[in-house]
Amino acid sequence: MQYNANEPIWLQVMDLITTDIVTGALAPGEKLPGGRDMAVKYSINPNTANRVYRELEDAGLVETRRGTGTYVICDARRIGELKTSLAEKAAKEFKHRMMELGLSREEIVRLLETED
Amino acid sequence: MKNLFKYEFRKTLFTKFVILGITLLAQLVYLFGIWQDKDGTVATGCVLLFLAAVGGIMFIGLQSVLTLHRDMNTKQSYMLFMTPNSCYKILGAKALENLLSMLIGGAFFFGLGVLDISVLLRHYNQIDSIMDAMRDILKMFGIGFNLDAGYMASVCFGLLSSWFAAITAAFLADVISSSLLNGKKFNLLISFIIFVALSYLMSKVSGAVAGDVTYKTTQMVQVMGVSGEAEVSDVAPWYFVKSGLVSLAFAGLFYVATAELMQRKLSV
Amino acid sequence: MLESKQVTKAFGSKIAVDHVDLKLEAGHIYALLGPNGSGKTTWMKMAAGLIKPTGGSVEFNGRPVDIDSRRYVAYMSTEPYFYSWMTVKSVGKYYQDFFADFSYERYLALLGKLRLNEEMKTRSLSSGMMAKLKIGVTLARDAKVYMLDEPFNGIDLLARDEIRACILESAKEDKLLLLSSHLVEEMEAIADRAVFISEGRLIENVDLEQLRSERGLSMADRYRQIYAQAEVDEK
Repeated sequence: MQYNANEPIWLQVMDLITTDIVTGALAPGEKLPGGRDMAVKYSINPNTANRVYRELEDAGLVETRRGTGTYVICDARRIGELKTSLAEKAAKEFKHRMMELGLSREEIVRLLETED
Repeated sequence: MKNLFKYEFRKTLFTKFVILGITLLAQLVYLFGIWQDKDGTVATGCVLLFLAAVGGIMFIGLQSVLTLHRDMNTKQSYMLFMTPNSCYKILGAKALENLLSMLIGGAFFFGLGVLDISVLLRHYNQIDSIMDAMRDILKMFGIGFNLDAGYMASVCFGLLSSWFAAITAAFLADVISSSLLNGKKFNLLISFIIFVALSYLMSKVSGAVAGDVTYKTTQMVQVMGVSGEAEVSDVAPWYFVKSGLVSLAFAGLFYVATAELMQRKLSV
Repeated sequence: MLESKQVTKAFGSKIAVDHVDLKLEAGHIYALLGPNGSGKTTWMKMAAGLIKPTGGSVEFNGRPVDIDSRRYVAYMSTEPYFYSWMTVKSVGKYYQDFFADFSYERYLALLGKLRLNEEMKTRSLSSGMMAKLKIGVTLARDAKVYMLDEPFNGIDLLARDEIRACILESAKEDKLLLLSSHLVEEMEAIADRAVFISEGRLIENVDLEQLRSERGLSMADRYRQIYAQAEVDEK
């Protein structure tokens, strides 16, 4: 199983798709597979797939054009903002963990510089 | 129904090939005996052919009971009972396939017999007179023996019908064992007793309806140039027709009872 | 779509299914869970009309299951059930002869996906290939209800993804899928509801995403909770 079965699966698939959107693996304006195809692609329940689309739409990352399907939004600024906020969140988590391990600010920076 | 029939036929195909193979073998022995003029081999061929015919027809009947048993008591049962067919159709296809197989088998062996006898007659010219002599000898002992086509046909009809009715009785007994008695102790023994009881009932009723098997007449008998009168018992001409019809009525009754029981009570 | 009302099945003195009320709706994939001998297979067979209940009933669209409902209910048993003389091809022909909703085209597509060959004899199939054949021929029907008993049994790890894909392709809004398996993890993501039964009785019928978001439990966690508890109770 590629998912953590203790957390809602829709959330995990939504994270996967969000990452694809900010990295450009899913280009702005790109058409997403229909609900059932998405279910097969991600090996998830079709109802879960529909939930993923609803949540992505609520988050303003995709838009459903009536009759034609669901597309990644074209708004590059919105995608940029999302990338920044995801990066900030990841950095915060990283920093928190380093602090837990008792590393100082300088030690963290040095570690990051020596790490490839 | 057509499809059910098709697969019932397919299930019994192998047996039919085996019976056909054995018959061909017996036939070869028989023909070889005639060709080589060896009476002993001809006689062996005759016996083998007779056994193949009687055994073959009986086994076709038995096999249909075995097939039904397997179709209710193994995983194969899902194959049949998950299809949208009523038990009347499922059982009907089985009974019909069996009846037709026995009729066709019967006709095949009958035709083969006629053919073989005519070969024999051509080979031994005097066989006609031997047969006549045998008939007269039998009459001396009080046994009638008339071999016209109508009589033979009625005997075949009677025998086939009663065998078919016995098979439907076995169907009923087997379904009782697989449904009502399923999981109970002495299940197979009880269902066998039911089968025997049904057969007994059938023979009693058919006897009552068809009357006596034989009737006695006084006939002229001539043996080795000496002639005289003798009391001879013959098989009553309508006996086999009447008992055959009774058997068919029973077969119909057993069929309805079996299908209804399957419909209501059978779990596979 | 499929509803059992106080359905009970006894085999002699052993009660396999005990007064189960269970309502299953179209548009869901249900995982039917329980230890061996808990009554999963018996319930499915009653819903397929293969076994007659001792009491109560199973209804398909409001009518007790009968000959007619078999047109709409596709059932796959755990054990192989094809005739010994059959080939992969004649298995398909058999289904085509008896089920109006069977598509030979879809069957061929599924065979391709599952890497089975039409000419193979069923007698010589490995258990894994036999399991795939059963799934392929069952899903090639355009049924309303699919009941697959242990679809992952005998199927190696890599092929399980293919099986999941085939199952998901058959799931539609107007269809109901019921999967039983003791390989609980295989069903975590594809099922959206789980039905737990124990010793012939229904324990619960839950929404899995709700179980995860509200209680942080996976289907496997819940399984352990329920049946570990049952074992403790027994002792």
